[in-house]
Amino acid sequence: MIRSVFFLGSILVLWCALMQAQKTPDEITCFIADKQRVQFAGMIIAQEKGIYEKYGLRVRFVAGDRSRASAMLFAGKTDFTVLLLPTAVSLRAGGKKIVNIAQLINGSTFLYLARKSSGIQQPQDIAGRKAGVLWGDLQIMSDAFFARYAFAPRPVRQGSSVNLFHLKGIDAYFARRHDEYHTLINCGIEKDELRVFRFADAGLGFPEDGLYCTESFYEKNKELCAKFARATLEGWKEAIEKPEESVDCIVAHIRKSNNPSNIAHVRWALRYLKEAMTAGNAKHEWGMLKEQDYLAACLRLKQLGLIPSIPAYRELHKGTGF
Amino acid sequence: MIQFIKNRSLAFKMVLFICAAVLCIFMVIFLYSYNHAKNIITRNLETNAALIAQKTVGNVRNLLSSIEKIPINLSEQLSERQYSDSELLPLLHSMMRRNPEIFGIAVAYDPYMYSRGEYYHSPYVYRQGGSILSSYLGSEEYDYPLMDWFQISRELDTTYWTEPYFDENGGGVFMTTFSAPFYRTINGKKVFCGVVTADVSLEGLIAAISRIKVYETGYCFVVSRTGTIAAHPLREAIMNESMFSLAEEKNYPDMRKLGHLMQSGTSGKSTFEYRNLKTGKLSWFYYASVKGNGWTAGVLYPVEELMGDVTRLSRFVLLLAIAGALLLVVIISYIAQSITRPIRSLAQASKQIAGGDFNHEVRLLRRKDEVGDLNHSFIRMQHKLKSYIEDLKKTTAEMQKIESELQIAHDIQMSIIPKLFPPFPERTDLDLFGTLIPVKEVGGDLYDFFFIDETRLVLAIGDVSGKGVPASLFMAVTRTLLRARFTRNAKASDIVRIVNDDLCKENTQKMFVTFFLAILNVATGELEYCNAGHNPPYIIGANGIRELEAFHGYPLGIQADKPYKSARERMRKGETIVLFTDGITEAENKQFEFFEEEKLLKVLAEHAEDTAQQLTKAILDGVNAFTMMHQQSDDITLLVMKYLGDGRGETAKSAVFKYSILVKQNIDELIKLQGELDSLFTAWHITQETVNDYQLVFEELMTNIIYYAFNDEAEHFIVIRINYEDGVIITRIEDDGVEFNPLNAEDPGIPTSIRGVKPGGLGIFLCKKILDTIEYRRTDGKNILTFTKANI
Repeated sequence: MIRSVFFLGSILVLWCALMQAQKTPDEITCFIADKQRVQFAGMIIAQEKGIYEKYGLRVRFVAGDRSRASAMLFAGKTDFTVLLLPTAVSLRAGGKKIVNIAQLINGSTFLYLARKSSGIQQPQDIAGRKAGVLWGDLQIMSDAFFARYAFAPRPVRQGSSVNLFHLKGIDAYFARRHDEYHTLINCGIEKDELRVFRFADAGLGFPEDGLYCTESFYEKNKELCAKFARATLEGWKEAIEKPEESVDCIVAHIRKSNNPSNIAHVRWALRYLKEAMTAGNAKHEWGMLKEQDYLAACLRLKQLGLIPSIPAYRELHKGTGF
Repeated sequence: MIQFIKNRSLAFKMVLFICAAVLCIFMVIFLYSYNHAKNIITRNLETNAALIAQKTVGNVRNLLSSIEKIPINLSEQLSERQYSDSELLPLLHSMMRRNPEIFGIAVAYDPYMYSRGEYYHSPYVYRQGGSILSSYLGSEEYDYPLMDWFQISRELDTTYWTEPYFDENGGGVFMTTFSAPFYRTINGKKVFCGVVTADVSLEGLIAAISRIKVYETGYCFVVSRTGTIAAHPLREAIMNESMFSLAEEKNYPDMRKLGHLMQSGTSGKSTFEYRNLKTGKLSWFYYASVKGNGWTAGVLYPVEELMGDVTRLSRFVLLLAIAGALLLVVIISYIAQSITRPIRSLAQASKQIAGGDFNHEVRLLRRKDEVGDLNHSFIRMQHKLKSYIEDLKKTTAEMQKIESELQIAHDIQMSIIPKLFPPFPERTDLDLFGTLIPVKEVGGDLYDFFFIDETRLVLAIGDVSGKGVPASLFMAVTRTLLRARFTRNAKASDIVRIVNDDLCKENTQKMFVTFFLAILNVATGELEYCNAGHNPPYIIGANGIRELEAFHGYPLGIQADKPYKSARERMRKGETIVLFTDGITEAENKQFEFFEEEKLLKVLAEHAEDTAQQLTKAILDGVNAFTMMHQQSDDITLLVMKYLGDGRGETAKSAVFKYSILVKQNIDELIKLQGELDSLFTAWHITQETVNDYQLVFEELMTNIIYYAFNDEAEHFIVIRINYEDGVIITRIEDDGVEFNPLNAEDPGIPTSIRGVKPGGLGIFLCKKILDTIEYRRTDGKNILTFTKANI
């Protein structure tokens, strides 16, 4: 029996070793939230235009609920993921060992939208009214906004669709300028019908999307991380610097994944993403998270009571020089 | 442009204007008919479009309404009581079997509503590969409470048709889901419990609207309440594009407005032009709302095809019009050419004739229209013109001859009038200027002046009745007679009388001349004048202007043998006599007013100190200023003389003159001598009366000597010495004849007639009476006769 068990164990180990040997070291996975969307234009371009391949990478995108991006990472269902900086700081401060291998969006794109016809004049007017809120990895953003203005709305969990707000199912809607905001415009809502509360105006203009992996993965695969970061940044550079060449490619890619997309929206998104990626950075250093921005964001989050402590800058951000 | 057209030929203008007018008329008719046809087609189209749109709406409505009732019925059942899965699943399977158009049915509970320990609970029955299968929805990856079909029904408490989506698991088709909420009453309160959903494929709808043909390239489509395309023949537009994204991408602001109209639940038409997704051609939209779910059906009409017939017809008509216009151009050009060819020919002929070629042959046209008339008239005109020009040539030649003769006459007339000024440059005792401005080439006025001896200056001015050649000839005769008849000792009245008599002879034309003749002794300033009906001259003196007002008879040429007298006037140094004709005083201005003496006197007064020439100019300027260059009506003649002599007295009486002459003893010599004496005495400022008396005495004494002092045939000389001392003429006559004392002759007394007196007696008697002293003596065989005569 023992021999049999040993034999079977040996077979299992051998099989595992064989499987491990068969896996190409440069084959990696990256979680991109919800659906394939323009939010990930840089990665789409890097994928579609063979940039990842050029760096010797084979990248597979893993789709899922954007609120569960970190969970997917820690569950080992993906090698890399895209997280908001506040989310990552919160996770790191909470003891989760994740690292930032490239900061993608340095500016702030978050907004709360309300219809002027609803009578909401200022953020505080949302108090007690139905407001879309985020949860999971993104909840910290909604919490930050409400904490900043110190009010409590009637929270309605907000999905990825704009239709609930379009049909006036909620009074305030959490949106990104380059994405949901324009989707609403494309549903027939006029700009002047909306009241826009920018997070940046509320002192919550935190850096947003960054590329993350677990610290352990990073320690073991620094070279791989560097290649992935560089290739992804090159894809982003291509996307926002040559938008007209990228639009069709991005639209086709998104449609290929059976998600809706159109040229007008991608054009709009690239225009505002470019703004956000280069925000406050005249000499834009691709992938760089400036320590000053990091500390400012952390301090603000701590002031609002959203994180217990401020993680060391170098613990989280590994820079772009690797 | 206008100038360009103006410079074109008549044919060009005819073609241009007629064609332009015809084309304008045609364009108006064409546009009217085109618009009319377009309106008719548009009206028909709208009716047709509305029908198609309503049909599509009906299709959609039928599809949706057939689905809606199933979830609604089930939700009502679930609201009444809770079904266990073992009850529900067979029911759902049964529904699926009865409703093949439904792809799947789910009953999704609100978290923890089915059971307290269960967050997700959603039995789901669906089709796959011809089978009907069951499963449960809900997981961390598929958090259905966040799905529109659940969340919107819950939050809005209503049924809801989702936006179209692509279902990967259900066979790769476009789907939409209908959800109906159900509730439960807990503690008397209606509490949201969940939704019942039915998934339905849009492929049938897509296929149905794709089959609807709207002409060749038009099509139908359906948009959701967000404006997203839910059904469209172009599959890639479904779910991806909305009315608003297309409006933004294609930059069609009107399309965004149309999107809003379609969202508003109304029906209508949008006439903005939009390039459709399939062909890129211009199209019109018609739309109608689907009641119940906020979706809208649209019909897109390709303008080009709609208007295809009209456009084709219009093109054909336009081609016809162009062909017609070209034909019209050809016809009008031909007509215009046929009309204008002879006109051009006539124009060419006109140029030739205008250039002097009156023999240019103009072709006679055998036509009876207006052009033919013009041709005939032109030829007649050419002949008449030729004849006229020939006559004119002759007349012109004659006229030129006459003009030439008149010019010659003018020159001659002017040549007989002294016009070289100053006429006596060596003289300092007078300043004389005259001018004659005839109203025609030749005139009837005259003036003249000349010295008849050293001191006597004749001044004459006249105005012949009438004008022109006859008057000029009469003037010339008068002037010639004046000069011819003048003798050294003649008085003005005598000359006037003689000239009058001469002019009256053979004066069949009954012409006459007003005449003023004056003889001025420049040495004494004595002026003798005779005025025969002429304007009285003026003398400008230190004490003002005085008129020589005396008249002495009719104008010359009227009545013969008429005696004329004369008057005397003394001119002082610096005085100016102004002789003029009525051309001055009767000069007319445009108002037919005369210049008159009053204005003349004013000019004379203002220019009293002027020289003769200056005064003449001033008078003429005054006349010109008055007439304002109005046509001159009469000859204008002026003769002005300023007397600058000292007068007698100062020089004549204080001087001593001696004169000696040797004469032959014949009577002819005596006459010659007397002439010379006249000049001598004039130079000595001897008065005419004294001269007349002296000449009488001298002639008497000399005649006696010549006839009686020599009794042989030999030639003898008589020596005459005349001294003028202290105003007395002292004459000494010596001859070598036989002794003869004329003073011894008897005194005959006063005779009744001079003709009956013998030589010697009465003559000597007169001599003694006339002379102051006379004495005779015989010395050295010579008779010496000495006599004196004082100058009076």
